[in-house]
Amino acid sequence: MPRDWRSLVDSMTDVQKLVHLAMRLDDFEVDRIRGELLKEGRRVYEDELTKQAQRVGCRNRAGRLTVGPALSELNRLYEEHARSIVNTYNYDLAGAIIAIGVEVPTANRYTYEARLRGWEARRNSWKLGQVAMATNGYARSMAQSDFAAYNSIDGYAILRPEKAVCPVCQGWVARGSIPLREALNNPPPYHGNCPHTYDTFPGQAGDCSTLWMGE
Amino acid sequence: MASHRELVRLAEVQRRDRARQLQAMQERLAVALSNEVGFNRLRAITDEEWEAAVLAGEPVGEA
Repeated sequence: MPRDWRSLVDSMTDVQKLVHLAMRLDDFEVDRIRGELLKEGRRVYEDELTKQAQRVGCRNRAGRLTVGPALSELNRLYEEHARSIVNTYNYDLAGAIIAIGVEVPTANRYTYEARLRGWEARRNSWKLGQVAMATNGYARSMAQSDFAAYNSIDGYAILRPEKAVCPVCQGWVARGSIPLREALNNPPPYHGNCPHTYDTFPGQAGDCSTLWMGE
Repeated sequence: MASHRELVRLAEVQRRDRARQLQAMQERLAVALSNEVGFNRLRAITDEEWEAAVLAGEPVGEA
C-alpha cells in the first residue's frame, strides 16, 4: 500500500503547501529516475552475464543486453521502483516540512531550505544504499536466471554472504547447496537492504561461442 | 570445466568485484537522485508568492 503524501499535505498550512509544491518530485522525475535505474540495472545485468560465463569456463564472453524481454522486464521493474521512490520521497518530505513547522513556527523560506538540505542529506545517507542494493540485487538475480535458462545450464548454488539477519535469508543460507533451478526460481533480494546473491556452481556448458549472452 | 576449488576462488573474486561495483553505483545514484531541481524551485519562490501564503494564516519571521 503506497504511502499517501496528499493527506499529509492537506493538513499543512499554505506556506508549507507552497514549500512541498516546490520540492516534491513529479511524473517527469519518475521517468528520469526510471532511466537512471535502468542504466544501472542494465550495467549490472551485463556484468552478471559476464561473471556467469566465467563460471562455465568462457572467459572471453561479455554480457550485452540490447533488446528483448529481459530489457523490457528490467524497464518495467525500474519504473515500478521509480514510482515507489518518488512517492516515498514526497511522503517523507511532507513529514519533514511539518516537523520544521513545529520546531520553528516562524520559519521563512530560507529556514525551510537550510533544514530540508539537512533532512535530505541525512535521508540519503541510508536511502541511497537501499536503492542501490535493490537495483543491483534484482538485476543480478534476473541475469543469473536468464543465463541458466537460455543456456540450459544446471548445477547448484549457495547463497552468500553466510551472515544473514532475516529468517528467509537464514533459511536459504542454512540449506547450503541448493539445486540451481530451485535457487533461481526463488531469487534474492528477499527484503529491503538484502545483501545476498547466489554463488552458482554450474554443470557442463556448451560451446562458448554459442553461449547466450543477452543479445 | 573448472574444479569446485577454482569456482570457490572465482566466487570470492567475483563477490569483491560486485561489492566494488555496488559502491560505485551508490556514488552515481547520489548525483542522480539528488533533488537540486526542487531546491532551485524553492529558491525561485517570489516574495509575492511567499507573502500570499503567509497572509493565509502562517506566522512567519526571520529565523
